[in-house]
Amino acid sequence: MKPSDLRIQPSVPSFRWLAERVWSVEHAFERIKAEGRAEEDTRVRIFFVLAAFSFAFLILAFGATRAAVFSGGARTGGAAVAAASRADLVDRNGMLMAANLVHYGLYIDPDEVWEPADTRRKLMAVLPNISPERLRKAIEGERRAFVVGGLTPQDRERVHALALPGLSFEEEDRRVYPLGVSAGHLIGFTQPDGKGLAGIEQALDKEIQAAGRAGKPVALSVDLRVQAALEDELRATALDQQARGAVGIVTNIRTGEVLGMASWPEFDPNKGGRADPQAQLNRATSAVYEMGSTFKVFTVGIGLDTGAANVNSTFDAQAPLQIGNRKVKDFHGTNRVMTLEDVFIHSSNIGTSRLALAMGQQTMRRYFEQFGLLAPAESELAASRPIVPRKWDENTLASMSFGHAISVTPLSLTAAMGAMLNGGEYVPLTIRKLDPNQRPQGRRVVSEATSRAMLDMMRINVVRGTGSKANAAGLRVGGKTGSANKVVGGRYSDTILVASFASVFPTDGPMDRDRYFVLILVDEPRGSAESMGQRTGGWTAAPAVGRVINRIAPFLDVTRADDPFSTAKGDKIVVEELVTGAGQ
Amino acid sequence: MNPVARLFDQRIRGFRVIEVAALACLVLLVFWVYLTKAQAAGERAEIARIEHQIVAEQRKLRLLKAESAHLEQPSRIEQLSEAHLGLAPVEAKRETTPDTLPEIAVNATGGAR
Repeated sequence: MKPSDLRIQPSVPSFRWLAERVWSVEHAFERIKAEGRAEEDTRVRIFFVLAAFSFAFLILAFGATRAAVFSGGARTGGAAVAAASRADLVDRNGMLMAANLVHYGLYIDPDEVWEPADTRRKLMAVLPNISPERLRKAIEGERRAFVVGGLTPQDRERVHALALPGLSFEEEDRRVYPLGVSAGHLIGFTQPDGKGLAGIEQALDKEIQAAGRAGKPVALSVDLRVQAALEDELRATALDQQARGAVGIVTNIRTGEVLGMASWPEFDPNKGGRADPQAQLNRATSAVYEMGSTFKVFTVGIGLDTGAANVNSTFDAQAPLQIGNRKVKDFHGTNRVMTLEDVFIHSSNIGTSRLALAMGQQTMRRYFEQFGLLAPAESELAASRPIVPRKWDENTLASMSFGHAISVTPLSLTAAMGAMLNGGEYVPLTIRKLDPNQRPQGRRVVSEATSRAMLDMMRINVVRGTGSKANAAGLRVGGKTGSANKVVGGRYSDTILVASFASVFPTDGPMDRDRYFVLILVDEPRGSAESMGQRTGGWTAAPAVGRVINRIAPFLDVTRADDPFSTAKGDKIVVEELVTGAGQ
Repeated sequence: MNPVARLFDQRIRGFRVIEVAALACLVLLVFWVYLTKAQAAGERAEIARIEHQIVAEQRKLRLLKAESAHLEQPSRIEQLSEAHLGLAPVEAKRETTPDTLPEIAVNATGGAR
């Protein structure tokens, strides 16, 4: 047989080629036998059989070795490292706000329970929150039944230590909010199956699930230190004023990041949907209010931006403004002709009404739209729609100029105020932590000059206007009070108010610096000894804002400094010094 | 006779040397495969045990993190610092900067050195 005979013929099927080769070997044996060399024939046959078996065995040995030694990559044994179904939520500094933890469900198999009465008594002793009725049914039932879920590893250990037969556990993945009521409304909660139902859990549901699969946390814009200070002061104010509800928001107006958001009454997301519905309501995003005089920031700002007025323009507030049958009056009546600055710091309804009427409904509507006041607030959070007037007649325009006839969420007010005070761009609010160098793209609403003028005017309002109680030494606080009468039985009540204070700090420095907006809103304050029986924003919300700013400024790297109105220690600078200072 | 033929023909107590050698190789190979497989099974069991341990430790770690977040939350720390240490936020009038420290020191000592 020549080597060339063993070459595979491409046109011949392989089985025919193999058969030919076998027959050619067989013929070779026959030829040897015919030549009288039978011994050699047998030896060669044995050699061939041995070689074939050795070859087969080597292949098997190679396969076995490969399977035994090099099959580790498939990880056939052992448990995979568990990935959480939802990612951890952390604040902007990495502090944990929500996490999925393994809990245990307790099951009882009645067939294996020896002493039902003893089992019931011992279980009730270590797990006092179990429903006695459910426990009885499980012990006296016919098949294995679930008794209670959400047990911690410590609970499980305590039950294990009882060494009772018939008890078993099954693992369950549960969402846990270790901060309890802190930021409860903002974080929201999930369904038992892990789907986000409210707050951030709902707003970022898909993102949280995707991050959970990747084993990464979701970083929020919230700063827990700011949140804690805000909640503490809001709680103190709400309790002092025996209020129906209260809202607190802190944002960075340059980036739109929400640093703190609180709603009172408080709510523990660990209780989820079982909590009191009134407490579950996040008043910052889901309640709408007529905001009152804080809206004068918009009216005055629009007036400056359109050129309809400048800071020295005068408005006749000597007598109430008559519109049809209605008289617009001033709460802090001065009965004189006022400059625009005076209109703002004395919160003159007559002055802002005259300004709004001068600008007309088209201008007001256009700007209100640009400020996002006619639609739900732009952010990841689900927010309520505002209640806007159907008809924009003179009466409505006058009302809107001082925050009546339009009801918006505190979140909408916050976003719009940010646009007025951050250099003039509407930046959607966000609950995601942004890169420190990132400035989100906004839409221009007012000019930088208007924004600068409003910052100055708000600062002056705190120095010598209705917002003086919000002043925090050296932190250059500016702000505007709001005290809106609520509608009760179809009429504006004289005594039931929504009091608020919208503030910004620091008011000085370049327009592109980080600046912070703080809103405190008190729904139906009743007056207290602390507020001298007063219920207005200047007496109820403004002091709370001052305290919040005092507490959060160090966390936001805002240091105390002099400005033209007061020293870093909070001492007022008198006018003479100002004049001297200006001359230097 | 050539050496290869001799190797095939040489016998010990009636058994060909080549066959005895092949059998010995076979036994060794089987034993080696058995040992390797047993060792691999042991390694796999150890990996599974460590992976279970990692999962348990991870769970414990998450639980501890949650507990620590609960215990370290700013509002709780503040309450404790007020209740047990009498701490309170520093008043603006008592705040200062490093630049003014020498001036404060001079005032505190009445200018004496």
